[in-house]
Amino acid sequence: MIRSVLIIFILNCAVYLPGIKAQLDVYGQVSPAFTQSTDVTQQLTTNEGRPTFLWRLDVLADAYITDKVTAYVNLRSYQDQIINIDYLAIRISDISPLGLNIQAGKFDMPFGNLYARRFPADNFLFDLPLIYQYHTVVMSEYLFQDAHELLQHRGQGGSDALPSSLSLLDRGIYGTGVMLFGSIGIVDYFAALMNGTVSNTGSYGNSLNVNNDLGKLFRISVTPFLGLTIGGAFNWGSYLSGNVEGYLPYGETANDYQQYTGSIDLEYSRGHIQVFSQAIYNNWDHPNVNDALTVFGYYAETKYTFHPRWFVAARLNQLLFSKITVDGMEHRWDHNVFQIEGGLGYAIDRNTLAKLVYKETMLYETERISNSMISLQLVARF
Amino acid sequence: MLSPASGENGEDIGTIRGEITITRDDRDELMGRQRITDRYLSRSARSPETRQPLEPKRYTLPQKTVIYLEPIEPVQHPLGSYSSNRVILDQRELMFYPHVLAIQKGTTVVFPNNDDVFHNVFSYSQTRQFDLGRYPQGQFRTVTFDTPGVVRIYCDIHAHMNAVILVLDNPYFTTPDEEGNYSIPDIPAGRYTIHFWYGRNLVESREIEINPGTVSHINFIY
Repeated sequence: MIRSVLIIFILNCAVYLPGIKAQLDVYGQVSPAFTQSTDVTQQLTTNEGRPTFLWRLDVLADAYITDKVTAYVNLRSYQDQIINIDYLAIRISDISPLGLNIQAGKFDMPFGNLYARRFPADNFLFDLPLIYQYHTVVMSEYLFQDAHELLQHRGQGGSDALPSSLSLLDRGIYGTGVMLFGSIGIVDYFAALMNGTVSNTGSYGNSLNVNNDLGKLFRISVTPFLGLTIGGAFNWGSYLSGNVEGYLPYGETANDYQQYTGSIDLEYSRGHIQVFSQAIYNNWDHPNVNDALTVFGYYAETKYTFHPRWFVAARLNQLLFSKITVDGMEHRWDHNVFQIEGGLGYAIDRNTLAKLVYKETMLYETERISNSMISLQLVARF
Repeated sequence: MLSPASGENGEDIGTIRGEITITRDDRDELMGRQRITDRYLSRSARSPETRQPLEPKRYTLPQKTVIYLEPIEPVQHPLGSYSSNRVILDQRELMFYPHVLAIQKGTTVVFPNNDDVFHNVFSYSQTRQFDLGRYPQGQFRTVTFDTPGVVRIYCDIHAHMNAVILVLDNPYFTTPDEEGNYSIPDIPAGRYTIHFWYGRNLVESREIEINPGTVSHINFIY
């Protein structure tokens, strides 16, 4: 907490230095919630199925240093009272005749169209889409000895047994690095270098790079008309930690095992309807599994404001894992996941929102496991 | 203070004239930047500029000030108490213009979008709730206001955008000129409360009496 206050304080001092014409905007969101999920042992169960009150705090600060230089900070905390710094970046705008911009620090990597839906007030539902949340069995800090061991752990991603298991997209994909971006007509383009990959940004550990490689990320999006934006992004880089290099075949390094992730996304809004969708295809090279570990995941969500103050929302998520051949038989290397979410929102006032969200998650293949969760969340913007 | 009226409208009406003086540097209507939109909003919603200009825009005095009358006793309104007019509350440069719009009940307000991004005008005020949804540049939506009261207007996409519509029961309201001078003519004689609305707030109300054939001078300082 002290370090967070210090950051805001330093920003505050910087923008009031003599001769610097600047302004600091501080704002945020407070969101207490109540949630209960069925008592099924899987990663999306909250607090082992106990009825639980939660809270989340987001504090954002924008320091407008000069006409072209802006500093951004986001702080996020949950009921565990650990302060996460999601965003700490400097943006220099319009640095060339083409209007090129550069941003450096820690920020949301341009991979998909999550935008402000990272925040409770803009999220139509309760959690992030499954591709941002669900942990597979692939880990960055530990190598399964062979495919047999991997198969034994299917469905255990995110558990204490697999502490460094990876999701397809690392929560809000807040990565540390540098990004060039700009627009040409209806096209927006982004190019970034980052610590790690979109699955393993390293941003929630010590924020340092975990291997000798840098992740490369490109995104391009087209807005043919206002309301419709179609984007595509590609990211590749090493995802394994340098800590596992002692367990790799002789002469190989973590850099020899790459993650490749491609994504397409769509956003449409008009009138009282908003639609967002993203599909990704991901490949992890694994030293001890002959077949590539690939996953296809997608979500599609919509929000419809049916009356002033009231909206309904729904989201469909799915993760489909590839099959690997073990002892002559094909097996999915992790359990497929299907999830549906539905929500009802009511704006108590312009800056205060109440949401009731129901979520059903199903893991299926060898056995069908189902988990349901209901959440009631209040969000106030300040 | 009373002085002889010009007599242009007969014996039973009077006029109010006055001056608005603003002495404070109020910040509540400062055109805040897009805040979260700078970083996170999609192309359909964010400004085509990467960032907003350093100096925020300010509304002018006529754009944010309304003087209006409310009769204490029932009076006959020669101009009628119901309007079928259409007036515009514009959306351009990610702002509403004017900031404060006074209309007579029954008036239809047109909300054109003159920005090359979506806007989503809405109000949760009890006087009139509505949500116009997202619509692009060149299109407009309309809302008719039949109930007197205060309607606070926002954009669901751009959190800093706000405006106030004052739906009034009678036609005795005005906005000052750039120098702060205002005039409300042809007011039926009687007792009234005169209200001074500035920015987002009702600043001051006074009881006054309009005498036939006179001009009342009422100044406000804020």
